[in-house]
Amino acid sequence: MSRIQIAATERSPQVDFDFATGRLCLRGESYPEDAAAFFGPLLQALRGHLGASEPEPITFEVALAYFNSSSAKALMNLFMPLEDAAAEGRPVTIRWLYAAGDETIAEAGEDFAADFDHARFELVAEGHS
Amino acid sequence: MPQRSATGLKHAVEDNFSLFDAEEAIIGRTEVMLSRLSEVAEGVQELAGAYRRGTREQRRLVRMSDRMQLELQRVNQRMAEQQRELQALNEALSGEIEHRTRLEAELRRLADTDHLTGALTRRRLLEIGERIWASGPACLLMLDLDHFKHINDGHGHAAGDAALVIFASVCQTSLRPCDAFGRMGGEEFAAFLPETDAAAGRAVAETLRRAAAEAAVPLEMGSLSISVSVGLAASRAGETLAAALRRADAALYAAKAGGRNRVWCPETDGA
Repeated sequence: MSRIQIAATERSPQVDFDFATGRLCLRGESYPEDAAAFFGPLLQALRGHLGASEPEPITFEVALAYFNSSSAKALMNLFMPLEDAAAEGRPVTIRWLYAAGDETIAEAGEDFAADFDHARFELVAEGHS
Repeated sequence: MPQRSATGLKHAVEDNFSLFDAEEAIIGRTEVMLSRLSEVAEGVQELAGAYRRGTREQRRLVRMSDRMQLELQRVNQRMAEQQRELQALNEALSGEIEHRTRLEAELRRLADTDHLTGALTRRRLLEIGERIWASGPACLLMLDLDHFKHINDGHGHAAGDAALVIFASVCQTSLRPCDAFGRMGGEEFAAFLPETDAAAGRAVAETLRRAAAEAAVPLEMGSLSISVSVGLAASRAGETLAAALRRADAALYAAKAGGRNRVWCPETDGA
């Protein structure tokens, strides 16, 4: 599987995991009915890709305007293998995008950043639009 | 020396020496190790149980906070929606207010403006005149087109209307923006000139009279000349506007009686 694309719904974010180019993206709001069902396949695909591929660079862009606790747990599960891959030498960048002025999401990003020693973590404010 | 029984001797020997003491020591050590291992096993079991309980509690907490966050998000969305509706209502309302304000201004302009000549209406002119009269020295001119009835009767009402329009336009061109010029009714007009004394007021009146005399009202064939008589009243301390209007009317009557096409100003022309 080289690419997973899922359109956003009211309760789940848009997903674009393009493993071939190493660009992964989550954008929207995340409080799905069943977080395990939504994030499980993504996590599985990510683990599979990291295990099978050459250590090409990976950028994971997270632009969530709102997420619940289950989604936060799922994010940690996605971040963990990426940090492990970075520790083994793969260039990994996490880009945490938040709407300028959204303190809550910015602070959540800072919290997540603390878990990364090897992967690069960027906090990016997006302009008002 | 105490006597040792055969059994006693045997025991003593076994206490001090055994052919299997190495094996027995190992057995002893394994027993100790086994008891420690079962202690460790119990500890690991305890740990696993605690971890299981912890995970179960964590799951429950995440479920609870998910539910609360869902509710919170629903409330936020409802509020955002209400905000949008309110905004739309506000915009509609301010559009309506703007529309009404424009309408009101238009209605006021219609009420304040004589539709034929564009001069102020009598009501509006007197409103402004009151203010001018109360605020310091000023002049009031009463202007009346001469022989207007002859124009109407001889050349038709369209010619009469044209004469009124041209006369009003001549006056409005000559007067200052701070002056108030209006139609009192029929062929009679009035002007309030703020901060103007009798001599200056008379000069203005004379300018208007001459301009009217020089104006030509176009007819279907040829054109018609007009003239105006002007009565002037300069303000007096403490005098009401009504009294001033009466004086200006009297001066206008004097100008008419004097032969028309003239200005009469009692203050400068002698009582």
